[in-house]
Amino acid sequence: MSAAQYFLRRTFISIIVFFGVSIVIFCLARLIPGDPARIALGPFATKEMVEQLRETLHLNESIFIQYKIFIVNFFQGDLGISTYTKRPVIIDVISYFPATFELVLMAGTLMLLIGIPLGILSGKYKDTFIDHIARIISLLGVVTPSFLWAIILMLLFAYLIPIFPVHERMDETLDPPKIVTGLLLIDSLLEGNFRVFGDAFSHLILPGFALALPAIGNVARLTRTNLSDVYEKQYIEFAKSYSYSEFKIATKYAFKPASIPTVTIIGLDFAFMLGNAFLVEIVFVWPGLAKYGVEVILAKDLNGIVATALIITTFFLIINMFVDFIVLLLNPRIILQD
Amino acid sequence: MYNKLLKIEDLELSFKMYEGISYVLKKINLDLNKGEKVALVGESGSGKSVTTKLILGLLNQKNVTKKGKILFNDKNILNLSQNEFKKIRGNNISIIFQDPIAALNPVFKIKDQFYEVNLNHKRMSKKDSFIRACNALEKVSIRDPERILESYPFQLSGGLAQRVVITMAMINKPELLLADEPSTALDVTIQNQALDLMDDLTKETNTAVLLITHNMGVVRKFAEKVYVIYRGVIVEEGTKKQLFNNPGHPYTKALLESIPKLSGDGLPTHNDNPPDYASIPKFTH
Amino acid sequence: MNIFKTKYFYKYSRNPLSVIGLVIVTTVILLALFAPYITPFPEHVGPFTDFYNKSKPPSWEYIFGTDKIGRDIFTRVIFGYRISLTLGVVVLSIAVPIGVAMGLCAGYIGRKTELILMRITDIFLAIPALVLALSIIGLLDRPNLFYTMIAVSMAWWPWYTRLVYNITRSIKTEGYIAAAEIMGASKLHIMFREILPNCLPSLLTKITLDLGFVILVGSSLSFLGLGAQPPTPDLGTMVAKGASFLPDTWWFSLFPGFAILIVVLGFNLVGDGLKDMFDVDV
Repeated sequence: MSAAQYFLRRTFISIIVFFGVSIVIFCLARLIPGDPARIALGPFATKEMVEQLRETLHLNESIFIQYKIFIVNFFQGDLGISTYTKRPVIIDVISYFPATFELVLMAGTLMLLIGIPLGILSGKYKDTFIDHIARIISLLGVVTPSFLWAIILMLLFAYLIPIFPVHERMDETLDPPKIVTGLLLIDSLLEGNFRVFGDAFSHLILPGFALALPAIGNVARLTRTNLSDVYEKQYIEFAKSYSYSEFKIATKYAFKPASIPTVTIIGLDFAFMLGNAFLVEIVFVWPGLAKYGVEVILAKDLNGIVATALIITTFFLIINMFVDFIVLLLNPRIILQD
Repeated sequence: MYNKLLKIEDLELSFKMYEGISYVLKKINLDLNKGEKVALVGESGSGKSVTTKLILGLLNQKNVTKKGKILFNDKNILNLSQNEFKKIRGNNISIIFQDPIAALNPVFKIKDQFYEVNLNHKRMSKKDSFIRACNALEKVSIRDPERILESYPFQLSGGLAQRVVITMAMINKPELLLADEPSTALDVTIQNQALDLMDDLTKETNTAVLLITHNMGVVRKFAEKVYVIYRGVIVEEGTKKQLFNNPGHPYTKALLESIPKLSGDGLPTHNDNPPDYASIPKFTH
Repeated sequence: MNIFKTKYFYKYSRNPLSVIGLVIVTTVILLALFAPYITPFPEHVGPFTDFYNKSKPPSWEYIFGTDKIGRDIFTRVIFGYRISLTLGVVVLSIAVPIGVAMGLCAGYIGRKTELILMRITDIFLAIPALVLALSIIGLLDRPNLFYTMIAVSMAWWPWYTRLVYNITRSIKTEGYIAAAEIMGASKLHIMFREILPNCLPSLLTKITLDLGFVILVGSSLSFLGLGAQPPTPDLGTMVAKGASFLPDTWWFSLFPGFAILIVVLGFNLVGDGLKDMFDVDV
């Protein structure tokens, strides 16, 4: 099948999965014990007020109708009103999502920029001193919870050696740039405002690292394994017997086949980081979707919870499709083999 | 002495393992003249593949002890550095492996792999490499070489892939071709094609061939001289005629008896207690 | 049979890291099991206050220092290990059987069963583990350890399904399976007596690694306030409570944090050692 066909098929599956996820989350939300309307209004609300809210939230209808309403509204951009912030959830999402997005992008970049080279070094110089150091770093990255990294980094680089700031995305005394993408780094560059860029960057570094370190460790370890597995393969032996340059083998002929399973793992690590964003955002008081998510969970805000979970999952599905596409580019077998 | 292209003298190889030391090759002696076709016959685990790896310096395991000499054009190449091997590989000595599809990188096109081999000859552009490869493939009656060069290895059949690999191996006109079970992975009907191709190309360039196999039928078709190896020891050597007409060592006899014949009483019955072939001294014609 | 003399143990012990991992894990398990007998202040685990000794830095008497209400952190950390290990064991006891059963069925029975089961698995895999666990817990009325365990299990089983599914599919066409089918073995027999044993090395390795990761995720959840409730000592909760008092009373958060690190490290090293020993890929 052709690339287009494969792509369509993947998109179709992703859409099905999206609906499946929405159903799962939706049902979970409706299964909680207790009356969401009452919880939202508090113990002092009257029966009429609760009943009125139930009507507004369509809580008395059957679950199928509720779901239908939910989906229809979702695609119209209406995610309901948050009982926590008292605003339309969509507004909440738009205001908080960019912060998380920027954080995850930063962490993702770090993961690739540091994790992959570390893994290649490790794999190429297997069982040497370099390999051992790299493996220790990777291992520590993987086994340490993100929130612990957040605390350690904060202690080291914000308190002990005060280089970086501790809270929020930007210094309060500076004016934020005009919001184009919502990403401070991009927006400030677009304005040519380097002072804000530098400030935003320094705010991003510590949380970015705290989020990225487990993923860096994972990517490094997997790149190492995949690379050394490939080096065992016969086509590399063949390459060596025909005097392919060592450098070319490492960067091209061994790297390309090894990168295929690695790219898949990178996709999974993005999911991992999306999930862990919660922890880092709390420690660094980062005004992102994850922090919002935790707050709505603690406040039992139905619409907020459902929307947050769905948005994050959608984000993850998109990343996965992107990853699949890259794998397609790397591995011709998928489309050419019947 | 200077006629001999390859002379292996008293070659010994051992690995250190959990259970103790494993002696893989015990004093192997083997020689090859220019343009000669020699078969090294033995069963799995006899040490024949390892010998080819040693010739090209492809053995990279730790806890390995090597003794003896491998003289190629009178130069001992047993302990060369990897850099020094680079000049020989793909140039003076080429190698073919058993599974042609596994030997080719699955995510690169055939033309890219030809390019790297061509670079051993001299620096050239990718375009020139493509032309050179095309010509080589056409010369061996492989039709539609452009399409093949633009393909990926998994798109070729086993037989075709092996013929492509053989062409690749011979494109730089090496003095010695090492063929490690080149036909074993192929269908019986295709085996002939691959072997014929090897025959034609090596005759043309007077390339010596060291053919590793466990298939006596292949030996009969292809080899001039035969060495029989059993558990790291050469147990018999001789010309093809001598071996097939008058096998001396009992192991050689057993090998010959196991060739399926189209007539006669069928395969010999299984011997539950074969004699210790290794302890029976070498038979030389 | 002396286990220390087998080929497996030899291969395993070639790697010093794996041995260290085993030592760590054994130590943690022993500490947790005998916690009441070996800790200096076991009564600090329940409702206890000693404001005279509050917020004391690490000393000979209080090895990890005391917390805001005077409880010995060292004791609480050791007891915290009990919670962590329990979490790991319970979560996997739920997730593994479910996941394995689904994987076997999907892989071997195939057709519609495979389609449905694997789509469900895909859906659960599409939700990042922490998000799913958070959603589940957050929607229950009062967070506690039990709910946490259920939630994490729900997020974990799909990985076992996928692992077993892949292995099943790759050995489905093997000769001994066909032989069993011809001899009239029931599907159940084939799945559990022929296919499952082949999955054991991968399963054992993954379970060991996951014990560490479940503890990691569990501690993340308790960090957010959704785990065991006070006064029960839970490592994640301890880190969270101590976070607001950084950097002055750093020992509130750091020691429980490192305790988490150590136990996850231990399981990870053992898991890696098993991976090398069995030569599998999870």
